[in-house]
Amino acid sequence: MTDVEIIELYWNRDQTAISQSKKQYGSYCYSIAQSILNSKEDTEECVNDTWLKAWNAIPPNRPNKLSLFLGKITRNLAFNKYKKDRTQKRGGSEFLLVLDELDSCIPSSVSVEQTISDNELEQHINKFLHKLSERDCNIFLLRYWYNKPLAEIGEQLYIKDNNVKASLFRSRVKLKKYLEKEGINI
Amino acid sequence: MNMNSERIYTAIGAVDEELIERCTVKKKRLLKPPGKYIGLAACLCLIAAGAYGIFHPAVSEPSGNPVLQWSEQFSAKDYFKYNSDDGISSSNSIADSAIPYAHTRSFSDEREKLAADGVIPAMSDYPLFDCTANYNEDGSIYSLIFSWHKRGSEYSDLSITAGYQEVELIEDCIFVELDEYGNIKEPAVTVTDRDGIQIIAEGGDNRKKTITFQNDSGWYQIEGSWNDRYEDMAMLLDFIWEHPVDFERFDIESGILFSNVTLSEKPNAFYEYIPDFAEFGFIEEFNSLTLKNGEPYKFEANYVAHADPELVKESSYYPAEGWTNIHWCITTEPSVYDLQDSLGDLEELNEQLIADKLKNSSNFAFVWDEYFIRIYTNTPQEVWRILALTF
Repeated sequence: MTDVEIIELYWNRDQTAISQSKKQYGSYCYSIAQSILNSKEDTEECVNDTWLKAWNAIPPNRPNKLSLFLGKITRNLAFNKYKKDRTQKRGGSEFLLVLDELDSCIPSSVSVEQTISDNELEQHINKFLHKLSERDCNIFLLRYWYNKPLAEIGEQLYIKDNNVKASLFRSRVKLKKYLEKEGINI
Repeated sequence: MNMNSERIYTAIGAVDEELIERCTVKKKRLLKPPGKYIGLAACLCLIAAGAYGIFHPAVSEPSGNPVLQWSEQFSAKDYFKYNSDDGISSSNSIADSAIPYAHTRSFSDEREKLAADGVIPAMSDYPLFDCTANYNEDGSIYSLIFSWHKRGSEYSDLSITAGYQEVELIEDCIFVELDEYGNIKEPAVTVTDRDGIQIIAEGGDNRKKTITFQNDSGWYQIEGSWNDRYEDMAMLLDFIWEHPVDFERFDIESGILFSNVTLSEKPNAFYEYIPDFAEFGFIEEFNSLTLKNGEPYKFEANYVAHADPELVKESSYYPAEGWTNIHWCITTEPSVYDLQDSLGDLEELNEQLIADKLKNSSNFAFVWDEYFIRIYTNTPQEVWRILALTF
């Protein structure tokens, strides 16, 4: 079944939409949630919540790409769950590394301006990623959107782990400089 | 880790869908026939092995040089800023690596058109130009080589090798080791980040120089000789940066095919311009005829006298004494340097002129009708006798 057909089911309030979404994108969403939560039980709960959230969001939304729409929901749900359960030290070691690495992107406070809003931060990061080369951008998102281990990224892009690491390092430095140049406080 | 990294992580979650989708598209490796693949792998291994030697010092230094950030103020020499004089200077030429391609065609005759169309820089002060395209077995391009040459006091060999293959990225064949601060550990190369692309420069003053990088259009390697200036290297880099190679322009069907055969396969080639050496007691050691799209283009052969015929045929007469030879070369398209070196037309030659030339040179050259003849010999008297009696 195509994305358009599944979305049509959502719009027609046909519950087959959920089973079809599970069939098509269940494992995709599962891998995203699992990379953050590192718990089978939490991951399954998160993926099930994804279908419910999608059911409530379509309509009025009509996603261009259903996989990304569902993936984004899963990522947000999983990350929110991670933050909520932070005290229980949930989260896979790889995901902790991902967050740890992102620490180095935080700009030094350069002004007393008001902290930037989430929406503005999203726009800046989006703009920054468009400035990166396709290769560096792909590596950055595989790591910080999909939480993929370095070896898996290297395997996917046919490059050595060391080069993945170097690319990520350079991109993080560039992001920090970019945010500082834009005078952003987080 | 803190709350702020979580904000950044959340913000990354909202980037454009096209970017998220693009990064998951798995690059496909080009499936090649086994033989081809082995050849290509060998090529890359050579590059990688060589590059390892360049980039991986025997004794690691604790820190190195930063990746330079390109700017409009960047000078040509800046690309080579950290290249040490005593470093390993054996830049790895992609073009010199094992040959992984199946076919070759020439586009050298299209120089003016290529320059007019902005495919290559004009470089009109370079008398010599070659454009060679190498193709995979299926006719797809493996690499393109543009080269410009000057000889004499302004000696120069500049070239751009360009290609694209869905194999490992070129920068991944070159192992760049960074320390925890992102510095390059080995000072024999300089890496410059220009528009998000890493440019790797090797070599320096009085040494061969190379600049290697890969962008969305393909991979490129610019080479310059020991005598070439940084400015000329940078000029080629700037040009190719602004004019990525349109590989489709170099279709295999439109290129010129050079092929090598022996004279026996084309006995009429240069028929009136090759003396009957046997009549003068010379034995042919070898001959080679180059065809340009099937037509005679170049010829060369070596004829030996006063030597054991069996040894000549086996090319093992050198240790003996007393032999003489005449190495006879014909070309239909002499270069400007060939013509400068010419003694003139055949009618202008005389024994003394040839003897004088050979006092300080291994060869002499002359023009004969529309052909250019160059003769390497250790016996000017015999050459003159043959020329005088034959023509």
